[in-house]
Amino acid sequence: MDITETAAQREARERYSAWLDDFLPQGYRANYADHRRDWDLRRAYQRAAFEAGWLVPQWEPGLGGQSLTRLETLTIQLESARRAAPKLPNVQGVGVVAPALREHGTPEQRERYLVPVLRGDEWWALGMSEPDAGSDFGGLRTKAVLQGDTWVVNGQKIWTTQADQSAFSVMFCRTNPDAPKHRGITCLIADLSAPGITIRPIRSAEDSLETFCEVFLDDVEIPADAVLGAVDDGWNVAMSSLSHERDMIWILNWVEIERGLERVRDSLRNEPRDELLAELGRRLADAEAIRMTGYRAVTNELNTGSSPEFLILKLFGSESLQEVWELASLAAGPAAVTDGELLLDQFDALAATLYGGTSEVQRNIIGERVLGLPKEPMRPSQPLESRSR
Amino acid sequence: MNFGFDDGQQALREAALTLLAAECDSSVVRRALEDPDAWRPLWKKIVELGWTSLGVPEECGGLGLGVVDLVGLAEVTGRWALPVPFLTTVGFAAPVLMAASPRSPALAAIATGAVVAVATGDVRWHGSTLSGTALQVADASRAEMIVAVGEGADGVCVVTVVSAQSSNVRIVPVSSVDQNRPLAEVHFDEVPCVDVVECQPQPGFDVARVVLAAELVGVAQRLLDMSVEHVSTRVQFDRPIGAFQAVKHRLVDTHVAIERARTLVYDAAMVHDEADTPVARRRHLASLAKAAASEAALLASRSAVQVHAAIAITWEHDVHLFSRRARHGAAALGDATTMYRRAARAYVEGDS
Repeated sequence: MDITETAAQREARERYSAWLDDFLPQGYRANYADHRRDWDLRRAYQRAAFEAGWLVPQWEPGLGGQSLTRLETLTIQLESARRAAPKLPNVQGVGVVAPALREHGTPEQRERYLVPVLRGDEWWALGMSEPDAGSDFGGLRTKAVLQGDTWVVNGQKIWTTQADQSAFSVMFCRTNPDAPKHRGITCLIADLSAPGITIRPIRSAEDSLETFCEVFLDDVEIPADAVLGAVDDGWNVAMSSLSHERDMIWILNWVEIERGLERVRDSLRNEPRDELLAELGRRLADAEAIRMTGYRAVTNELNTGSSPEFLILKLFGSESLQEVWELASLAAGPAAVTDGELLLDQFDALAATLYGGTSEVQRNIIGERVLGLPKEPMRPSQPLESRSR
Repeated sequence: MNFGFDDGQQALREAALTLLAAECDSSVVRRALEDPDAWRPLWKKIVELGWTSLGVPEECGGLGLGVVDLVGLAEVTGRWALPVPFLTTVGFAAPVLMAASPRSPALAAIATGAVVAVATGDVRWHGSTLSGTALQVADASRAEMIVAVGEGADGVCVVTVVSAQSSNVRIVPVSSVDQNRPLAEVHFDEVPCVDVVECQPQPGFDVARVVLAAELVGVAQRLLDMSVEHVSTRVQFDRPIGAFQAVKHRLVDTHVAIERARTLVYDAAMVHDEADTPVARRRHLASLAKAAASEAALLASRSAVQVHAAIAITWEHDVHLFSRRARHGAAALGDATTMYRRAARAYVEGDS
């Protein structure tokens, strides 16, 4: 065991940090509340990070990276988080769609889509959830039928973040109604400007930086070759995407945890409240444990090829995030309810235990894959069409 | 940066696992609970294997290994609820002595198998003699020597080693949740001492907290393993109860608490072994590790009882053997609340 950064880790971190110093405006951290709404700055950050190879450090030059190892990459991600670097404006594009394209896309698809999504020139949405298929993703009903060289798609997606601003969406559709429900799904690439697509933003209960949408698909025509992965193999594309999403989410959550802890500290410096100290200590332990469990998982993967520790990070990070912002609210005292910025952070934290797979689904995954607990008995997996509704 | 144990550490852990699997099954732990001398043969064995010399500096006849090595071993001893004074001697007394008086002859004695307990409390140094009382001193009744930590003139901290046989030292056993870690009151009645060191033994206590936290992680893991095994085989409503989310999710939360603690223990151990880490940083990480491990062990203990149900509160079932250790360890050297508050206060004051 060795806690010291490797020379390569330190060198990469220092280089990134210096680059970030150059990029960020003066007083960035102190004015974070304004800067997080500065979409121009966030777009500019993505482009600059892409050019400089800091966007996806483990990828090759030309794809937003510089071929760093996973350990060095995690170091950069955590440094970026620690400094509260501007959040990517269309974070699921880089964090979920790009890895899926790279892993499952044809050479033509990679050539066409990868660089624009990485540069942030084309935004992407994730067409996964449906009104009747949330945690039970395999139960989705949006249907695609191949007619000649065209898929004809009918159905509805919901909770589709930024669909209203996106150029494309991965669109998970049922293509084989006779297969067991996990087997008959295909991931299509939908151009969101296609005729027959109606996108309706959903008004959020509180101010929020990202828009949720409903997406209605009405005889939408998608070219037959606009398939990501194999036909009827969309389940595997979705599962690998969700795994990329989990890896992305815990780091995003960690940024907000660190920021929340600083807020608590500032409040307690102004007005000490001893009764909150134990809870603050508990959340400090969370923050340290989340960060170091990330390193533990990466180094275990290098040592042994296996890293079950990764699987707990999304659950652990998102649950802790909520507790941290609850604490920030307590520490702020009665004035907390008048503070719009604080309410925004608390509200955002509520979503963290939902997006990317709810905490309940995470617990099932961890229970079954890590602890080896028995699966919940399900009804035999029948074709969806044969079931009564 | 690497969280893996190196070859030597891994070999030590595996040897320990093999030894304890053979020599320390639950029948041994049970016998020790009721027979106050049953621990001695096992102690002799681990002394022969050199476990007590691991952390002792080379100039005192030890191997001079670091906190990571101790932590790796303590996790294994926790897993087996090892009923010998290993943790108190090697995990508490040795680090406190090393912080206070690194050339103390007591360290050489530890390396060769002397049992040494640490007594802190209302103990005062009056210039030539030591007086006062320390409560809840672990393994004092088994100890040959007592490391007394007290207060001298002007509140300065002093440390000295006294013989447990000294006529002015009275050791009064009290009831303990874990009779395999027996507790006693230690009364010092004008004990004459010569080698009294003025010092700051707190860094030694922080090492002790990290080692104890490692033991708690091992205890918690054992309780979780027992729980997982039980819910995978116990059938109710025509299915193994572990298939129910209410049961599964409880055990997953326990697993997350244990991994959280394990990461913090390894983190703290590595940081302690770095020569140039500031004391405040070591203290901070020791607080977090001890707090997290205390919580994880208590949670694992409660969930084990809940998922095993009534059988888990019988003498015959093994859960209580590990729950006892969890309860003592969680309370010793600062419970979770105390440790969290200590860490938070330092963070608010900008000293973590």
